[in-house]
Amino acid sequence: MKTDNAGLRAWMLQRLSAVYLILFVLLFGGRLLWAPPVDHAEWTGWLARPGVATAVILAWLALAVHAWIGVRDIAMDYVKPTAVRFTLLVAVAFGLLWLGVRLAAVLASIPAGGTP
Amino acid sequence: MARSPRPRNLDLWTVRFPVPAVLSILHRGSGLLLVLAIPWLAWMLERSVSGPEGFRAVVDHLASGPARLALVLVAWALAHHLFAGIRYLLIDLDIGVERRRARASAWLVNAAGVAVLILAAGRWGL
Repeated sequence: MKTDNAGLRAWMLQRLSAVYLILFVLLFGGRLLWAPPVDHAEWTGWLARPGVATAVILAWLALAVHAWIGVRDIAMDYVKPTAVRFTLLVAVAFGLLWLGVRLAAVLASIPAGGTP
Repeated sequence: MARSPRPRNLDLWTVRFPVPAVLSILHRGSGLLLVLAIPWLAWMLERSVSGPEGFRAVVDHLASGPARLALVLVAWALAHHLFAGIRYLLIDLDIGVERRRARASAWLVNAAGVAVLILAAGRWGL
């Protein structure tokens, strides 16, 4: 059911996802910059930790929402032909969903407890 | 029905952009750039996790010229988008709404983005 506060909901979701992404980028990016993993074992061992894996999955969720609303806002301003805009937005939506599926597969492919 | 002539100014060089407008355009541009970088970043994540050989392939890839250029651009985009986003969140909380402070914070954000760009260019040897 289409509601008349859809714009407000997108506005709120954009800010909620932004707050999570700020924290994630600072912590995750900061960790990668300060102490880059030196080999595959260390890298996957870190990613497989339940806290890190959960944070990454949540970051994908926040990113999918945030990127979708952002691309939609830009498309509404600059992509006027309805068919082109629709195709673009459907492609972005499927791309973001596919990204989540691949990410889950990548994280699941790391053997649990393989490396400390 | 004849269209009424509207005032137009398509000569962009005569349009003066206030600093917050520059910040706003760069916020959009950096956001779009980050979306375009997602496939590249996702590919590196998948490859680096795939095995020791894939991890080394990504390390080698990141040492290449095009990848370092992309890293510097992504670093700027991420920094500008992050700083500008924090500024918008603070403005939503009624912090820094007043025009002088909004202009000052816009200058600060734009400059901080450029500072990260310079740092990243130094770090990745451009």
